[in-house]
Amino acid sequence: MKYTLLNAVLSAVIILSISHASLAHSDIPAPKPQQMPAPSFECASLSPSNIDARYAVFSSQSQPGYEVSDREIRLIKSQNRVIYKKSPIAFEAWDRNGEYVRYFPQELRSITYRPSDLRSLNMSYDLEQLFHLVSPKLKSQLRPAESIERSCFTVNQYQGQQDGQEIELEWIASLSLPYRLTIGQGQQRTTYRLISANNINADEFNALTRDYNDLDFADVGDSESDPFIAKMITQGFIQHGNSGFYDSNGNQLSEGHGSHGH
Amino acid sequence: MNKKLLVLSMAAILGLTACGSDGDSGANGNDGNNGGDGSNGSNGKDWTAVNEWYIDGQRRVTKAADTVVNNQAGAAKNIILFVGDGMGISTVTAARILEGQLKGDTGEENSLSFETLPHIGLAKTYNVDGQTPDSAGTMTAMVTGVKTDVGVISQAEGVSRGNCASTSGQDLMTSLELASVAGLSTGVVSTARITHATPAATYAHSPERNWESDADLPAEAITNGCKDIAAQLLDYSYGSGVNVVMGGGRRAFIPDTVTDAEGKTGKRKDGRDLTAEWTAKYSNAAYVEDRDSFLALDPTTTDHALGLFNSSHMEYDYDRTTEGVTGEPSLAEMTAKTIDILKKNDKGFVLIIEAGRIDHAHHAGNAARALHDTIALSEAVRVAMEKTSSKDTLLMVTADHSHVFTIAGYPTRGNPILGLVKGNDSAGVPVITNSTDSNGLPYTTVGYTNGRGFAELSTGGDERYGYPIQAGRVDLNYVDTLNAGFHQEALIPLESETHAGEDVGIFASGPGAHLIQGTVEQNHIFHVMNHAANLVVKAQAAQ
Repeated sequence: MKYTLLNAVLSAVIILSISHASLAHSDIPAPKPQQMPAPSFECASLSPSNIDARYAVFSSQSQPGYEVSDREIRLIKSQNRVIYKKSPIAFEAWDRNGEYVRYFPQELRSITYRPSDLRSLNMSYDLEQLFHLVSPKLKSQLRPAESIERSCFTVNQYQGQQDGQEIELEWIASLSLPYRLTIGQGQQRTTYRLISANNINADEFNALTRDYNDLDFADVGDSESDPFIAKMITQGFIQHGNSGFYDSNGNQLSEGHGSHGH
Repeated sequence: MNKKLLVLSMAAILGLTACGSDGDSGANGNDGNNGGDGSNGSNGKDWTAVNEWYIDGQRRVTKAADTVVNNQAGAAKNIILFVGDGMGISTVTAARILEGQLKGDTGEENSLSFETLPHIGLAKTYNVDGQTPDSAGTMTAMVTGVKTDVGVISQAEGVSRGNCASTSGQDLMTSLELASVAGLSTGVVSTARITHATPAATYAHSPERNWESDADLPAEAITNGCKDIAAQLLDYSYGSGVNVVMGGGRRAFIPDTVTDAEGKTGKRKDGRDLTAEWTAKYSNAAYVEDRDSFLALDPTTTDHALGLFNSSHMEYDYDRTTEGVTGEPSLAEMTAKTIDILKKNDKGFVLIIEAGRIDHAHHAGNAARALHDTIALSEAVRVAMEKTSSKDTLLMVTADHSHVFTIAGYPTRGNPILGLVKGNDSAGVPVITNSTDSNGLPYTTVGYTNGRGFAELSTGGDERYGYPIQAGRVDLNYVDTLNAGFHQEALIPLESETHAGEDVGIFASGPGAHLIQGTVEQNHIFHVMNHAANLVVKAQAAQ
């Protein structure tokens, strides 16, 4: 598949589709392994609509208790917006109106893609999937198993296969988020595990994107004199090439950028 | 003139004799008429037959010969200038074909409304400091009569872009301002943000096109007293003010503490609500922000209308919805309503209308949306033609610049303009297979010299955001290139497709329209408007 690299990284963020290519991590520069941090949950105050959740992502057949994470994904929801943080270079937000924003913290710049921009780019997405990490369609195709207790959560277990991949899901119904998800085949498996969950109020959420100098994607083509945009026009916002991943300066992202794949 | 008589007389003049009954029969498929000698020949072409090309050509020449030129200065009571942002010649051609094909015709023979205007010229679009221009410099040329730098709004080339301190004495009077001083009514309509470069150049003066709200002003601009573009619209002090303003860009008019009906917050940091200031400033004023309230607006009782129908740019016409808080009027609807408001002034009006999103769709490499917005512009022009008279209204349609959009290959007549090229065989008969390149791959008729290129996106989700730019050839055999989301291929990979530097067309009718002739500098357009409506003289007389 042409976009194997891209799929590999992005599938670590959102479980978009279950395909071997989407889980092929062999091409990604090897991240520095990290010991799994201790779980931390504000159990009493958690809300499914206002939550700051962190997931550890780890590959291969780790033994419980000896898991080594490749990277982390932070999902932050506040009512009708959801933010995904997976890199110090950029993070992304969607809202229920279908608007998508890419934020670049180092430059304090952001690019907003309105729904019509996305349509003009032939881009589409599953909002429910974005807000819940796991596609409802995928979940509906799995076999439910017994419920168990994980930390302070009651989780519903699901199992199944799709496109030759084995899937194990532990679902926290009260948060509409997975506690744990494992996808893979044989020795090549990827697991996403909730390691912290905290309440976040609207002010804290809004502070994450405040003071960014925003530009509509539609205006990018008329902003060639803006140095930041000029780099984007010529190099791509974050261009994904055959040799790895590049930041907005055209520099290759490598292990030096920490445990983030993007 | 009777077509048959004309043909017969032409045949006599040319000394052509009748030939066979198998004469080229034109559209209706019947045999041609007998020749001038009253009989049919056995072979060859019957020149007296109703040949659609011949007759059509004659009709157009006859019509052109009947065109009356009104060269009197000030003969135009009204002026309407349409600007298709990024609407280069190839865009006009492709939109013409698409519109015709959407009607079920082959398309090539179709004419957009403004292509029927009697006068046409070409405009050289370069900016003072740019071979390939941007909208700020080009619109400044059109509305002030002076070319300037890229990114500069209605200020002369003496400014340094983005430097407020350099703007002293550099403001250029615009045709809109002259009209207001002269006592005419004025209007600005756009499908882009009304603070975007093209509409902004009609009423604002800024060394930086991006200073749309006060939140966009750098410290230097604030220190040296420059105002943001939205605020300048409210500060407009000429005559009775701008009478009609319609477009997108609500966010530059409301505070960042205010959330609009669509759930979008404003951008202003100074706390000003310019929409409220609009209705407070003017008598018989109205502010509307969706199509329903727009339709309810009574032009007979409204003298100052502000319509801001989107937080940012209005939607592409292809995606436009009409109901509820997200409902937006079409460019044609805005044109009609605006003319109804402005024409109440016996002294006349100046109206400037931009189809602002042709440019954006091209930048995205999405020809379908660019062409649909061009067709929407054609509809707006048609409305303007119907609601005004060419006897007293100078109507012009042009573009600020072109795009690297091209129509290529040898498709057969009627081949879908957004489709893969299917040509003719050696006998001129359409073939059913796609034309292919040296790699054996089919290709589309329309494409881009640069930009994002083709993208094949097989699954959903954020795989699709930040996918690689892909220039060069791909296999389109199983791709629906007619889909509005299709990205045409591009030769040179860039994140965003670029403007192009070739000339653009100027289509014109009405008093002074004959002054659009030949290849002219873009600032020529202002001087035609000024001659036709005598704007400077009238403004000076009113002071």
